[in-house]
Amino acid sequence: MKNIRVSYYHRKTKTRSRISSPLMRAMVLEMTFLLPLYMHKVEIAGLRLEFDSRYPSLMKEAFAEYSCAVADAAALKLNPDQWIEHITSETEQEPKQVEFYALSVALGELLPLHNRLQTHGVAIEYDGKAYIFSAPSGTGKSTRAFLWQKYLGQERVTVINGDKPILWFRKGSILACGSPWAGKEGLHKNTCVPLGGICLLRRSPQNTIRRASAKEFFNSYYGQVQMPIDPQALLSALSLLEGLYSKVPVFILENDMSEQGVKVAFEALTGETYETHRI
Amino acid sequence: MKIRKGFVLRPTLGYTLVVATGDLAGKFKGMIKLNETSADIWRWIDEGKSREEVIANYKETYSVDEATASHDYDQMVGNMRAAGVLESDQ
Repeated sequence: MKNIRVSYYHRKTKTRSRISSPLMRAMVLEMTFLLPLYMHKVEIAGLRLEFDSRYPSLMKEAFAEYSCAVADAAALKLNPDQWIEHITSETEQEPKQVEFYALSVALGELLPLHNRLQTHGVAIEYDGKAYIFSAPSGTGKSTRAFLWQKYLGQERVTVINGDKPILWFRKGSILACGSPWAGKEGLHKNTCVPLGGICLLRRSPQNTIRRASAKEFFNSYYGQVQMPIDPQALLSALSLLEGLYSKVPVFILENDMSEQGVKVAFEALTGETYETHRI
Repeated sequence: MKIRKGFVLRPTLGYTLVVATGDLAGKFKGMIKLNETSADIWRWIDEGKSREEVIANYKETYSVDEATASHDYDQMVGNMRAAGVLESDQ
């Protein structure tokens, strides 16, 4: 539990205190466990999921686009509780936020066994194809997506997921799918779009793009994929990563956040001339 | 010297990854990433080769001198021991 920052929200004074004593933290977490549970049914990246939550209003709102009333005996059951300890965050989080993110970890652990991967990055859609920008936090993934919207059109570039797109490996194609875990901007869409390419972002004064080697892809992308703890799921995840590299072009984009960076990435990813698409 | 039972070597995207399975999985979470030379040393140790045999193989495969080979071997074994990959020598 040492990585979780628990805070307590005082309703009357509308203030928040950080709870630093381990005992108190344990008690607050313990208390939240006494709340009644509500079952939620959702469908994400083509998978039916079920989970219990102590925070029905938060979950209802967060999963609104993904809710699925159909009962399905084959639905995957998610258990966020066992993953709560794994949540690390720089920001203070309320227990309900912790539960929300624990659900994403619980899902990410199961996904490789169902031909899917939970990734970290920004997935955008342009002209029927999805493109993923991947980089450690703070390298400008979201900014890059906004630059595409600025130069190629707000309506024509949509964000599928701004933080954790799910990749769905199907026969013949890999799809980038939306999910409600969408980072601080909260941009996501319940859709699955064929993946056209991945851009590994690096800050640089020049704007150049080139294909990534297998090792470069592994070294940069491995940390951006949720690798399961379960060994069978982990081996499946490795097979999916290999499939990803063999089926989808992966580029390293050195860029300075200028329009030139949009142009070189656009042309490499789409194979089209930038000027004919620029608004 | 013996490598504990339960590690699976999985070549992936230019590296060899070591994944702990079975009973070992509870102890070792995540993976160990090996490059070509360290993967070979791992395999030779796993085949039960002695220090001298591994160093001889290493010299032959990678055309390096005795000093480099024994240095690399000792470093690799040190890393494996530190990671708890080896069964205790007693």
